[in-house]
Amino acid sequence: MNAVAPASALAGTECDLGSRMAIVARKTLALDKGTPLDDELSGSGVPRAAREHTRWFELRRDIPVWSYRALAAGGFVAVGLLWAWLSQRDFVNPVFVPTPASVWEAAGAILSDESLWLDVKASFIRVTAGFLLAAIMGVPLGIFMGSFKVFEGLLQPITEFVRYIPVPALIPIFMVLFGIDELSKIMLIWVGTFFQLVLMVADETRRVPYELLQVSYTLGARRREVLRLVMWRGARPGIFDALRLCNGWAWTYLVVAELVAANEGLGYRVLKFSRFLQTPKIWVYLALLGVIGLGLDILFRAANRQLFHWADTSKR
Amino acid sequence: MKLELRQLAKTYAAKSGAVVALSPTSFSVEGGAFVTLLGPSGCGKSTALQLVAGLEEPTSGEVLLDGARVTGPGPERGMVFQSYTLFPWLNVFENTCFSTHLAKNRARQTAGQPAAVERARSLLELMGLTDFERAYPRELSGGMKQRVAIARALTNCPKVVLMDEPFAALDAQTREEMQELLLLLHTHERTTVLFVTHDVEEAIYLSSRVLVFSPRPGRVVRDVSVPFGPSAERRPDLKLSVEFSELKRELFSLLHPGAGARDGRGALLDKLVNPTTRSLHP
Repeated sequence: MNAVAPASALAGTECDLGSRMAIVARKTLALDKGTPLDDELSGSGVPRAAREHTRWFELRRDIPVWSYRALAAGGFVAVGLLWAWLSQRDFVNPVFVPTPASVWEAAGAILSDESLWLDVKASFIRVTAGFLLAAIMGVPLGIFMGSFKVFEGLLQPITEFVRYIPVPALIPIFMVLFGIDELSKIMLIWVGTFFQLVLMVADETRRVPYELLQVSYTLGARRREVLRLVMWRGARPGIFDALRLCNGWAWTYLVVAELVAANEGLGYRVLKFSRFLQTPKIWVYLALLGVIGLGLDILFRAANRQLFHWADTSKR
Repeated sequence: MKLELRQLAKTYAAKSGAVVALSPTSFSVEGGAFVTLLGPSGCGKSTALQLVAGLEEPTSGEVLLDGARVTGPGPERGMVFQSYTLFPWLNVFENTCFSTHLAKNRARQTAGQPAAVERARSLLELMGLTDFERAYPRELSGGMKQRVAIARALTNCPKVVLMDEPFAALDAQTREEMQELLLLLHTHERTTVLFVTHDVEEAIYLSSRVLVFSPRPGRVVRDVSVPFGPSAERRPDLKLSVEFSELKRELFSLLHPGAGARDGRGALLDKLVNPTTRSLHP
């Protein structure tokens, strides 16, 4: 089927080309007569009937890529315009809603300041360390929970319970347990992501169709081989996607983690600016966090497509 | 090769009490035979296959393969499922060779792994899949997926291949192509096949012997030897012959005892308003 698709697409372009040439030929013949053929050639050159009518509000139907991108950009622009409008109004306090100009000014100052890059570096190391620790522990544990009912019974209910404990409430305990250095910050990010990740990995492991395990057994696979060659390999795209989501959450716990006696870091800087009501700077840092998060997300998605090209991505 | 089922039965525990999936069933399958279990859905024919595969444990009775009791799934009993069970992360060739990477089979293979890989290659060729060796399952049609699944099961040289309605999800034309392919394979490989279907025509056309199951709770009501020669001699026009039709009629009446499906539903049908006599919008 795949082999046929490009061929038919090619035939389509040839056909278009043909009809275009026919129009050109007719136009040449109808020279000086001012015929309505001009209308036919106008626009994209594609005959009107061939242009597919886009249904914008059809359930789950795709819309053209260009329009999707335009809408994505439009979302940013709309929020920016709303903000610009709001910041000029009398009823809003300029301390809370600074003007775009003042934020732009603050951005210039911050981006040229070396301490920004120290902040980014410190935060990146913390988040990544906490996230990696959660991944190294969570992925194998999740696979076991999704594979063996014994582990599920033992660990799933307690995990469901623990994940509802709010992370900021753990700060005092973590300071006692892990001190006030890097370790407690990393552990706070770990605790925010680990329990969610374990449950998601377990779910993804359970999503590997049971028939695939059965067929492996009838081909002579041992339990250990089924775990390694079927469960693990089949669950990998889903697990990778769970890691992408958890990495995002790890960044959202940054500010909480840097409440603990930090001297640098993006979250720490936001807290410090807020103490002195320097809202333009806060906004710059928040925007930066957004950019970092979005960038990592895009990287994860691209890696997923590269690594697991075989997966049916339409459902993801 | 000899496969024996002795008083094999399976009962499931359900909320409303025990459900008998298979009442005690005994039969044996000789080496090289193509035996089909034919019956309506829910008669236990698939359960019987699952028990032979060792994927389920019998409530009573036993399965013997060459005198050895079956206690779990194993490579000497290959299986092809109704649902598509290719590994989506492996391409067609890797799927077909899956069994050659498993420890148990390495020990079984007398000729060694290169020979097994060579066998996989020729099976794919026989199945007409040589051009698709590098394709991934999501790029294949349903019929192609099942062809790969059959090649994968045969690569492993099982003593018996168990097929659980492998063509049920395919369209009629693909189904007929697959039947031809299966006859060709059976001629060529002389593998013993235990096949499950609810399609009378498919059962007769493919098998050397058909075991007809009664509706739930299932048991074997007829053991028919199909008199149309070995697999090699069967052609599609066999389905049009009088003898074929007669056997088909006979088995059909076994599957549908009584006058017809409308039995006892006359009163129910009477209650339904005839749409031609009364308008929905008075």
